[in-house]
Amino acid sequence: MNEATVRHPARPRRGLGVRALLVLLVLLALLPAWGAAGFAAWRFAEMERARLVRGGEEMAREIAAAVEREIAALRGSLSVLASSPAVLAADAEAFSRQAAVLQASLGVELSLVPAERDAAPPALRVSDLRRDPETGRPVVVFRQPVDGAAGAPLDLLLSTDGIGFWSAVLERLRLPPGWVASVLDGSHTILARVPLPARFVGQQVHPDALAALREAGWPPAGWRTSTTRDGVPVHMAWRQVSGMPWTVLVGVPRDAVDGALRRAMAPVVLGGLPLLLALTLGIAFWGDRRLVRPLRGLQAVARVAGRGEVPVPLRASGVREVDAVATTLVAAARSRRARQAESARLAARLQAVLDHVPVGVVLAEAPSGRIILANRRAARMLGVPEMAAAGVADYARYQAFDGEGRLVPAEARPLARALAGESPASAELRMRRPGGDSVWIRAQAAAIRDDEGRIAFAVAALMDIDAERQAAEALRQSELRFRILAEAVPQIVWSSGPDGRVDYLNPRFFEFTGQPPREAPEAVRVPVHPEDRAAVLSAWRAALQRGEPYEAECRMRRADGAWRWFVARALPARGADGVIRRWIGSATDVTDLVETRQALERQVAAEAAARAAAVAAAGALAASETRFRRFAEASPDVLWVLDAGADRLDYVSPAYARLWGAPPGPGAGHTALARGAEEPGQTAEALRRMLSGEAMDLEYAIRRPDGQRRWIRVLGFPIGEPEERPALLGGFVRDITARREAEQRQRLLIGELNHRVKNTLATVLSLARQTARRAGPGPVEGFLADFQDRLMALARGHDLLTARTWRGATLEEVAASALAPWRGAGDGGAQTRIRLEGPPVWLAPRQALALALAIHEMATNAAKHGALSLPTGQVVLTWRREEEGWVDLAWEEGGGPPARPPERQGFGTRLLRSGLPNELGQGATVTLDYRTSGFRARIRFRPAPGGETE
Amino acid sequence: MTRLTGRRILVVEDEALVAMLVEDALQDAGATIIGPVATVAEALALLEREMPDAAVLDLNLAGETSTPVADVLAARQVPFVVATGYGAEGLPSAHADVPVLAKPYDPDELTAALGRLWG
Repeated sequence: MNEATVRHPARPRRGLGVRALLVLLVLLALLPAWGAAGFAAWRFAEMERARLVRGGEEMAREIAAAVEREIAALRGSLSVLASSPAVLAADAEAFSRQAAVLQASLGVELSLVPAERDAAPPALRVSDLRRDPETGRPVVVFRQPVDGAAGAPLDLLLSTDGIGFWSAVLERLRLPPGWVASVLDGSHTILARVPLPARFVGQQVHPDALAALREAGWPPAGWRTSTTRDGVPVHMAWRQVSGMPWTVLVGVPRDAVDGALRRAMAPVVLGGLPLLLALTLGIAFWGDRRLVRPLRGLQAVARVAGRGEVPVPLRASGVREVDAVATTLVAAARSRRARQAESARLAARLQAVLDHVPVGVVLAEAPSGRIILANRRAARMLGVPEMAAAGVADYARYQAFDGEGRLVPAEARPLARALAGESPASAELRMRRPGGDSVWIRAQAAAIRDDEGRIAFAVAALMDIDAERQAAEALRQSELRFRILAEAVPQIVWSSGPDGRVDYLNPRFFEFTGQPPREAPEAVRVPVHPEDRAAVLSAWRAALQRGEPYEAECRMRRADGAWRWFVARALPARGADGVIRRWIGSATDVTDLVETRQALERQVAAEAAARAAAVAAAGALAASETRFRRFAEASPDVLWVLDAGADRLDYVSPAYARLWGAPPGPGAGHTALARGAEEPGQTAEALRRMLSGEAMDLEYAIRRPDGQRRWIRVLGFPIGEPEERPALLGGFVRDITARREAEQRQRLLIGELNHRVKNTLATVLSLARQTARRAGPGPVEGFLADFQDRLMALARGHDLLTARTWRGATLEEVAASALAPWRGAGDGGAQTRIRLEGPPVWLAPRQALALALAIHEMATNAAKHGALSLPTGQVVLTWRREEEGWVDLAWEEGGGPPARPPERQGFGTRLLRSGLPNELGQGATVTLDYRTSGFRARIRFRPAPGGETE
Repeated sequence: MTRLTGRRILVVEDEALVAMLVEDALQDAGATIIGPVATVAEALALLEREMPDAAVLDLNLAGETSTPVADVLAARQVPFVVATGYGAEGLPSAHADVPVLAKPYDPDELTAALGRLWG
């Protein structure tokens, strides 16, 4: 876009030019005349058309009348002929003559034919058009019955040619050129036509015509548009022929009818339009020369004036108004030029002033807020080359923040507020500069009102207050930091002015003293112990005076009334000029410090004691370990410790080698305990269960490498803490072979004892029966004495064996015990009367019992009947050893009455003869000899083998 | 009282006194005694020569079991009664249906048991 279009409004593109307006005016003037001419021509054409249509209808009526006339003539002729004598008489010759006359005058064919009779009464009938069978021409036949003729009934036929007869009727009526006329019979066949009858007679009428008639509903007369048989579009008029089913059609070519309009309109259209155009163009051309050129000149003048230049005055254009406007424009341009120059001078002066004031100045117009002026200082303050804003919303491009760091929206800036009527408006803003840094400015804005009091402008003065703000901020930050620090520290902190008046105390002070906080610091009472108060005050005054650090120790009362020791210190804070601005002090509660130190010392001492105890415990453990080893090594039992997780024997006492005959291999596990087990599978399984932490008590036999069999008892149990995994297991192995053997022996013994008791009872029973049996009937005292003696002998034998735990007894013991009743103590005679003599012989229990009973029987017998029945009698019992372990025992009686064999076999004899040998064992013999010198018995037997030793 | 007239009965008993008791009881009942014998060897030797009608058998013969004798008796279809101090449990299973007399027993029980052998 060029400068001109910027400064001046663009040339109007809408609207019509002067030339177009002229053309429009001419056309508006001429068009009505042209329209009137067209309407007249159209009215004329319409009348012509109506005339033509009426002519068609007229012609159709004329034709119908002509046809009716012809039919009436033919009808009359036929009627006459039918009643002629020639016909009635059926005189062929006479008829031929009459017919010939008629044929010649009417142009028809006549003939007589046999009658066609039906139910209908005889009357004239007219056929539709049909082909004559002889000539092939299209004919319409009239049939007239002949009444009263002699002979056979006859019909008179009259044949009329469609072309030659009926078309000739039409021909005679002289149609205007181009018109078509035709007559239709009852079946819509063309029976006559002009022109060109030969071509169309006999054909069906054109379907359009038929359709038009049907559509019209077959009224007797009318007209419609249609088409002729030869394809010409026509306005068709029709009329019914009265008394006949015939219709007359007349076709006026549409061309002729509609052509009337065309012919009438053609001159108006073809001639009028060029005339109209020529007139229009002529007038426009003239107007152009007289009007448009002067206007163009005026336009050029205005354009130059619009550019702010002074245009060249226009020469006389020939149009008065144009000349006046041009002159005015030139004058206006000249005067404006002068004003602009003056304004520029003023603006330059103002700019120069503004650029040298020490504040930023911004001027904005109301109400848009567009910045129309800003001095260089304002731009520099904001860090931009030039300040610009098209409206208030644009102020947002210079980001501003308030004291709390919040973004200040454009409409809340002082300039915007002044524009809105708040005057004066001011604010301190932190402006973000394009470089990312920011600057504090103070903006003061005021509205400038025009004469009517409306706000026309607003002006803002910007001052750089960055340094000021930053100093204040630094002070605030420093104060804040001090407060935060002071409130965070656990000590009491205070500050005071140079005069020593306290202006701040941190919350620790209020917590300590229990005084309510937020009181005016000057009013706070410091609860220093009365004894310390004087010293504290004098030290404080001295420090204030000299400006030196203050330090004092004093007691202060806590909220609960307890006195606590404090160390108080204060330092002067000086400004850059060295003058004291403030005193900052702290007071630390050292009571806790002391207690903390003491607690720490106690803790150290406790730890040292714990360490000493640990050392002692370790020593004790070592001692215990040594004791354990000594104990384990001395123990006859095997002591073992097994790490169940690794399945490794941690310790096995030396007794293992003594028990198993060899030490366990290196790295041996629990299987070392099953070594040589007689049932290895079962044993290993039981030991494995122990690995899962079960206690165990097992007894099993092992076979040592040297073949010895040992019974062992293995005890195992988890040791150590229960939660310790893998568990540590410990246990013993004891050699229980001796105990096992003792138990075995005991089991056998008990069995044997049982057997023996039963046998003994059976024996006693037998003794009783035998004694009773031999005693025979008699006083019971005799039986009892015998049975008691025998029982006693048996009992003594048992006593003897019991004393030797049933291992057996010596022959001498057995004999002495059996003979005891006769060798009683105190009876010295008896002692010597029964002599016992022989080497030591060991008897099995069974042998001992049997011999005891046998010796008792022999002694009883000797006392009753033998040597012992006389005071002089003696008994000698001797025994001696023979080869192969045989023993020969002899019972010899002497000094008594002669012995006689008994008359009947008593119990004693029976026992000696058959019982004793069985009891003494295989091959034992008993010989009884009854001599006069006395009774003798010899008993040979083999004592229990290997039983000599006790 | 059961009569065992004419019956030849083998007595195998190692306790002499008991054997005498058995002998008496059987003789009183009219039976003829074969034996008594006290060992297995003697009993087997006797059975080579003699064919008893029945037998009285002590299960324990001086420390050895008399089962071989019982086996021969059973094989030769000689019925017998077992006398024992141990009770029935000492009897081999092959002779489980043999009548058992627990020592000490009444001699009349013995003759009754023997009588039932032919009953």
